[in-house]
Amino acid sequence: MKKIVKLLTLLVVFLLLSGCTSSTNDKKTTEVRIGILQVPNDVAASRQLKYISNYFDQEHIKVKYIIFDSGVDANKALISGDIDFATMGDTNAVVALTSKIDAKLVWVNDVLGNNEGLVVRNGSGIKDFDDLAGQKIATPFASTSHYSLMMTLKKHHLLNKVSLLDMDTQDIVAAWNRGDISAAYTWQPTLTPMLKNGHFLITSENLRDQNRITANVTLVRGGFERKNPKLVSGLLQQLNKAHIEMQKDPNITIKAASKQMDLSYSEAKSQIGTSKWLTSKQMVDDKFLSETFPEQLYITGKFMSQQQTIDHAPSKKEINDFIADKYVNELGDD
Amino acid sequence: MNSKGKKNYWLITIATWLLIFVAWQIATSFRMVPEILLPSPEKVVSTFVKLSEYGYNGIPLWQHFLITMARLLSAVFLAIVTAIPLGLISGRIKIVYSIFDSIIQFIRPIPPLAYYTILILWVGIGETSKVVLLYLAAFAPIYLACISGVNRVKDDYIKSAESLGASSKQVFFHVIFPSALPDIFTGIRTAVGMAYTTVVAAEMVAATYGIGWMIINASKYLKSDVMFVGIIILGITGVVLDQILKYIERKIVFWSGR
Amino acid sequence: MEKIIEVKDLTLTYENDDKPTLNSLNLDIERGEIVTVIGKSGCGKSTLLNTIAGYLEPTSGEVLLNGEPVSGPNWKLGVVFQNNALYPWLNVADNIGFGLKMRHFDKETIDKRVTTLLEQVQLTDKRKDYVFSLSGGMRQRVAIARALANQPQLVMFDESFGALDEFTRNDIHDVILGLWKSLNLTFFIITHDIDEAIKLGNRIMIMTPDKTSQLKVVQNPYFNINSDNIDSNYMKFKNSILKQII
Repeated sequence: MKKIVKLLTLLVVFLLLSGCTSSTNDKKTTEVRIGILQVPNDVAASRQLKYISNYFDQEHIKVKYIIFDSGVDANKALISGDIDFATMGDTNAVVALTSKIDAKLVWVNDVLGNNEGLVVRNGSGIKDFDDLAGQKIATPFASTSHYSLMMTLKKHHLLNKVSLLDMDTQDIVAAWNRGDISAAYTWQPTLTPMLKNGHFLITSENLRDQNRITANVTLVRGGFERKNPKLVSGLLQQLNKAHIEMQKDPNITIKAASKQMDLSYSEAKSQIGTSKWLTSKQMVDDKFLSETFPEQLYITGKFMSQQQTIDHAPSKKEINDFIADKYVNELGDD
Repeated sequence: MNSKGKKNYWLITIATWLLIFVAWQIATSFRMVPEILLPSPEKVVSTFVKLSEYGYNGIPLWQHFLITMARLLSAVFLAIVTAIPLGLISGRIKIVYSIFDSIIQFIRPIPPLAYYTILILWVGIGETSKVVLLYLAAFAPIYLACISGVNRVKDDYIKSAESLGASSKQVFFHVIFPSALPDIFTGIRTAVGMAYTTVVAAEMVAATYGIGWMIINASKYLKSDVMFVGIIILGITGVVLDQILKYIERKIVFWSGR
Repeated sequence: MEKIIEVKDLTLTYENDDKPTLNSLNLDIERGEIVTVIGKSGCGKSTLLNTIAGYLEPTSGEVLLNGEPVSGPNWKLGVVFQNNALYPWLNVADNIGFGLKMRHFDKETIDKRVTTLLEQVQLTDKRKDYVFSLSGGMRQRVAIARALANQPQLVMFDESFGALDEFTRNDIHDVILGLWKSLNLTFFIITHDIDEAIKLGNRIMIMTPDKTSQLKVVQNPYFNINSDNIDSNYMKFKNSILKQII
């Protein structure tokens, strides 16, 4: 009986503790933690150009960067409250949305172009989409590449005719080099070594032209956003500077991003490829964040739920609640 | 007295599980924990039913389960047929021991994931790399158990066999092997445990089915209910496997501990 | 009498030891006799048995079995160990038949001989039992039967009855003497119990710590003595042995 009492006590303590973690603390924010991808993007450029550090120094806030290989892990870190911002592919944002993570989409870092694509090995006999039937195709599951691949396969009625392998990007290169796979939908920098003995069958730029947009987006943790809306705007302003710079004189931005990522200029340039860095003005003027992109997320969500990768398709209302476009609207003409 | 005491311990075990279940139920029905961290028991049960009915990723749940078991058991089988002879010989012949023991001692403490990527480079992403990974996890416990089993064979067992006219080959097969069997069985049970704990890792790379893969895939889409179903299946299977092994052990090495 | 075992100038020094454990030792065992060896623990009696049985190689000197040097363990030299060394994974019959099976006797012969032996050690009803279900005395009887199954020239006992209680030990003594009489066997029995040495030995060998004359052979007037007949002369005899041991 004593043991049972002990167990009960333990249980109560456990429940109390788990209750505590969800309670908010009222201390002033002194540190902001940003989850980043290891790619030469707007975050990398504005880090190198000291936009971000200058801004947060002035607010007396420390900035900490945490590298994530994929949005999957970034999502987990958002749930546990270990990061405040996270950049990820929009498919992971849909996962975050449907699994009701307390987070908002506030920024589109880049609309993907030929920095993602389906590569097939030269001499593998794959000339057209139909030749993919019966092949092993690797891609990191839950990524934008995965989604783009699935859309492509669906369009060519190949969904159940290929075997899809879930692999991390570095494993894809290893498997490609061994000859285990002859096709993979993945992104830069993985694409570069594969293109030496392979070629694109389709890229995300082609898909973009067919109105199937994929993008990298930034999510902010709900708790952080409600408490520090000013800091959210502040950060987006710095990223927007990089976007403006990119369109005015891409050389400076690419150089900065390459330096930050320890890449050569040409490497950075090819990794950025034809991805589009929309300014806040363009996002507002073209109704990108209020209409075009939500529509794309809706399509993505519907497709993913048909594939049973998420348990329900998000409604348009859910998507609109998820996208906090007020920050971009505020930046507007800046 | 004794049997009564035993009964009480059973009750405590059952009570513990009931408490965990009640705590789980309370924590979820009062929404003390977000659903994404801890899905409710009903949700887990309904997910299990759904998975059994419609499968996961187009593959029936039982097939996921069977492929995982097939990987596990084929790896353990390979480990048994290779580690037992090598372990017994190493225990008997110093030269063989000197060759293999240091290699195995070197590999044994390395977490399998550490060399998994190299394994994939060597043998590819197919079933081979998965089975080899589990095999490596299972090998050392059986090998080491054989050596210790051989070393623990009573000197008098060997001496009396020799005086009864047994050749050294007969001593090996009729005395040393059965003598070491209880240790070998302990080794096999440890090996199954080791391979079992590696099974999820083995299905992390380039798998398209398996319970471990299902858990990892579900984690990518933050489907905690599926993860819970997978984890519970693995937990129950682990206990059942160990009980089966214990039963076989009692049947085969019935003299052990008597 | 025909000599079964001849030990000639036997010296055995263990590795890493400077003094020999057995020093230039001579003894004969004749067909049909029971020789008991008595000595303190550590005096080398087990070493002597292990050397005669072929488990240890002499440093110098030799052990002859029917005039031929013993080069290793041999079915002609049976051994019964203190902890009986029966195989727990075999039943009583298979334990007894083990040696014959190893020597490729056919199943029928083995069965027949096992049946006879079981009768002789009075364990017929335990044929299919496993060793762990038997009492200590029964196990020792199985061990004796196992050693006899090969019909060896000599059966050696290495303090085989030390772990048994008084009554069981007396029973076993009777079994031993009964077998000896009916089958005309030769036994070499090592013990640290003087009464046992006197009761079982036609000849008693005393192993002394005095290395110059290691083995002292005593003719034994009290062989197979009934415990009721113990008198003051017996006690004197026992004391004289005791004095030589120390």
